Amino acid sequence: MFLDDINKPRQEYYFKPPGFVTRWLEASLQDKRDMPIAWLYWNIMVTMYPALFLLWALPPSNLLGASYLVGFNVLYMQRFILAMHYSTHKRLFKKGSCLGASEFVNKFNICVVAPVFGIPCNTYWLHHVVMHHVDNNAWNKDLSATEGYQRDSFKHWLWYWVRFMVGSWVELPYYAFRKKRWDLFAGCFLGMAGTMGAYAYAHALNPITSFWTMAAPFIAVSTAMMFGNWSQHAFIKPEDPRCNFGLAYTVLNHPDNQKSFNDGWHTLHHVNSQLHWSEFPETFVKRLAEHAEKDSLVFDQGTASWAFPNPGTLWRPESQDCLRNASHERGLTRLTRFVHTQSVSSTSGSLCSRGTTGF
Amino acid sequence: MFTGNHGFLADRYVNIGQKKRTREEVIALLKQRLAPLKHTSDGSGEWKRGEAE
Repeated sequence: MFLDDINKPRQEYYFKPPGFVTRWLEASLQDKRDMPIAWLYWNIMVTMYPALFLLWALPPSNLLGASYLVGFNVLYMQRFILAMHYSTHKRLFKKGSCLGASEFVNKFNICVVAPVFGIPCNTYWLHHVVMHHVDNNAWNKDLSATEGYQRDSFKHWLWYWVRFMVGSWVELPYYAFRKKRWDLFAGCFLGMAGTMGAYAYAHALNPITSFWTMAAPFIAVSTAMMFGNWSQHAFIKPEDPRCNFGLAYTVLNHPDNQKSFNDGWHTLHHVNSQLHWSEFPETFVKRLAEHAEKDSLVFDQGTASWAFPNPGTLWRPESQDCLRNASHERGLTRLTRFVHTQSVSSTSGSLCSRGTTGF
Repeated sequence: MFTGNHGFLADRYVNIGQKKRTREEVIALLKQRLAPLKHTSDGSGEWKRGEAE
């Protein structure tokens, strides 16, 4: 068993910007490890935006519109959602950078880029960081809570999806209103109203292009996000549904981890939403005993899993003769050492981590 | 999971030091964790383990 995720090259972006842009980013980013996020945004800015403007400049065409939607969603949707996710939890640009406009530029992702992917302007932070992490998948609190549903039922997922598609337009601003978070309420309300107003205006100008660049992306991204959240919170420990180790699970060695800023490490993200995405694999190794103690679910999606006739025995000390892969020496060494330590240490009955650790 | 093939994920389950489980026990564990949590009337607003409503 090896931890492939530690050493594999990142695949979140397709190409790097010119050197002077990277040098400016190096001087401006809050955390230089977020360079893949900035480079991905650069990729989107120089490919998707020109295509969007071109589509609006050309005569209406369903073929071009469908090609735009499919092409750019395949290229960027998953990557962008996760880039937006992590750059919402932690500021991308440090204070005082961007000619003093860093506060504005840091909202660029959820206010300017998100609507291009169909996410209503200025709603993501409220929904994800404030609602989802604070209320932690709790029914009747978190709009996208999964715990009330039978989570291997497609019928239940459809109901969940429809509730989000329709209900979020009311539930999200109402959530901020009920919490008396007036700034968030105003921002969300104005963002939603602006999005709807822009769509109504665009539809009047050109119904075909507005469908492919605004309505269809909303349907596509809402479906993807609700499928993603449903999947991430499919398995919930019934004895303690608010325990962060029991309301999500970890997926090791999945190829998507390199495209999605280690999204497979969702348990650790809920344990500490401020933990940098690049630190998940090593933190997982360090906190392996805690995962085991709280019976957190871990799956291995790498090709290695096919080699073991009895996956239930993976990572037991006697299975370590399976730890063979020179190219993953670093990950192997750490895992091997940790499993040895864990096998001789006793576990304590510490309280389970709940809720977010701040945002 | 929508296809009901819980064994697919059970085959990828990694034991990180929990009690030893057979494949059938892992499948039972996954099904238990997929079940909806039932709302209680204790006023806590919390959901507890229970059957689908």
